Amino acid sequence: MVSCDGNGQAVALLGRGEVPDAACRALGDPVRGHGIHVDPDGAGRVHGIGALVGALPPTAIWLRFEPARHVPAIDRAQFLTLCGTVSQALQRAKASDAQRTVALTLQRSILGPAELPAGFAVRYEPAVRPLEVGGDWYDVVRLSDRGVGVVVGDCVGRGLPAAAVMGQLRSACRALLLQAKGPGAVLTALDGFARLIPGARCTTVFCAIVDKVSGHVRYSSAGHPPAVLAHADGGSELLNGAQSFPLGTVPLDIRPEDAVWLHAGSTLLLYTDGLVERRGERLGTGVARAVAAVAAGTVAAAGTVALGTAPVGTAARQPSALANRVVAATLPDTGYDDDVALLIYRHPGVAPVAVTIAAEARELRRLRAEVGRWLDAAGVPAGPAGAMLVAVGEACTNAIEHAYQFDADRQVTVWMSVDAGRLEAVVRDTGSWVEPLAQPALGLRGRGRMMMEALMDVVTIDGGPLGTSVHLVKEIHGDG
Amino acid sequence: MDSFSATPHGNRVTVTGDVDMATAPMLREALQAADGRPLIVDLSGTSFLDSAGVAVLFDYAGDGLELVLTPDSVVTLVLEVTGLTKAARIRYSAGPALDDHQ
Repeated sequence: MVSCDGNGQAVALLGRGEVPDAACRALGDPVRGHGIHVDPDGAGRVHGIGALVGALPPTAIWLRFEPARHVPAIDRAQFLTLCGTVSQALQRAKASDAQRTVALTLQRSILGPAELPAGFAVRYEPAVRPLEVGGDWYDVVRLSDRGVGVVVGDCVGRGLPAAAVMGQLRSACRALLLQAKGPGAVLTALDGFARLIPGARCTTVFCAIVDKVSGHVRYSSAGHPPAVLAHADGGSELLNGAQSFPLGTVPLDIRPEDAVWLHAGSTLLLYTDGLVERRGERLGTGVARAVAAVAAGTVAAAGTVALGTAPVGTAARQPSALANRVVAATLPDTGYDDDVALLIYRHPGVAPVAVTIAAEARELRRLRAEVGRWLDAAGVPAGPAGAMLVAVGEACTNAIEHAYQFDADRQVTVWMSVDAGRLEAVVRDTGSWVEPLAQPALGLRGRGRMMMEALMDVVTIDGGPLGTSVHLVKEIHGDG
Repeated sequence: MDSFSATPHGNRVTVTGDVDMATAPMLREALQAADGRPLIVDLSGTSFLDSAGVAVLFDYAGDGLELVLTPDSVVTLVLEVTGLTKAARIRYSAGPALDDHQ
């Protein structure tokens, strides 16, 4: 930086290396460092003058004169005054920086987590700048290997007072979720807490517990706009089955709870009303806009799966791409009027499995081992998993015994899938078309068939000239 | 999924592992080898049992057969849905003996 002195001569501000060593030492000395320092030429003129403007780290202004010149006492005094002013300004700037760091650290600590489990994305827009937080919040809490608590809430008001209340409610809600008694119980307990916090009354909260393996979602809403569930087939629904009053308003013994299933590729959207409210517009219009955006994004993400274009599709399948899409579709030209929090979960589902065995008795054990591992990985509870293993085993035993009559060169294939609490299997043999008289379907009677029907919810047997196919369905109940 | 074994010891046969079409004949041999009545078959360590195993057990059900089971296991479920728990005397390994035929 270069400026001019009163005589029109250039005065350069120098880097540390360009200041004379003696002056540097003097300015850096804690005892001698105060006051003005000069670099005399021995003939009444000076090459430069300097003074400290900051202590930690030592910071000084040094003016170099070329050629050396006489600096009268009044100029030296003015220089010192100037340095004093600069020093005060520096100190204020540093203090302000420190306060800003404190404020940001505190703000970020009361916001939701920055790192999310796979499948989740969040967006947060405070209405009042330069604050980074407002009265809205989101939270994502890992409860177990497969259980994740998700929360979106909205405190009354905006700005700092609302943010202070929000931070307390978020922490309390997180602690209650960790007890994992269910979203209805979390909100019921949060009621009592909200009554203790001035300004927390009338906060609205949507709380859900997502089973990431099975796709089962339990939820409860304290006066909050309904979450949106969009499916890969384009269908969508509003989660409005467990509505109750905002926090701290009407005393309730227990808040209601409802449950839904996510299918493979389904998207769950939780949001605060800032996302859907626009001045001069009915609330329903904004909700419809958000539903349309998340439904379109869900279908688009599912489409990339079907095309199998992995490099392109991977990004589009990410929940953050869906979140961007929802923001783009709902953001007014003038920006959001209110705080906005949105939280998205995209359910990947479990890939089906196919196991083919040779038609002989000792293969049954390998079949059970492979299907058993898949059932375990798919998070199917022990009861339905065991029943399915028995039923599939009966269907295979029948195929080996009757369709193939123990011809080990033939094969039986088992397909299995689980989606939205429905465990399904198809056991197919292709044996009978060579020997149409074998009538494999007729073999499925007696005890084996009775066991399948007792253990399964649906048993359908299609026997034809191309073989027999046994379709088995077992419904899994939410927490079972 | 342990390997199958059926070990007779006096009137008691302890069965571990999976009983299916492949191992049911071995279960039948073990029951034949058991000495004395009533026959007690301990299925509390059995991990799997299908209709082939149920058929073997039914053949011994008329003779005061006693089954030792683990409650809530898939083996117990299979014996319930096939009616074998009504045709034999049932004792649960983790609970008290049940005297009447349930």
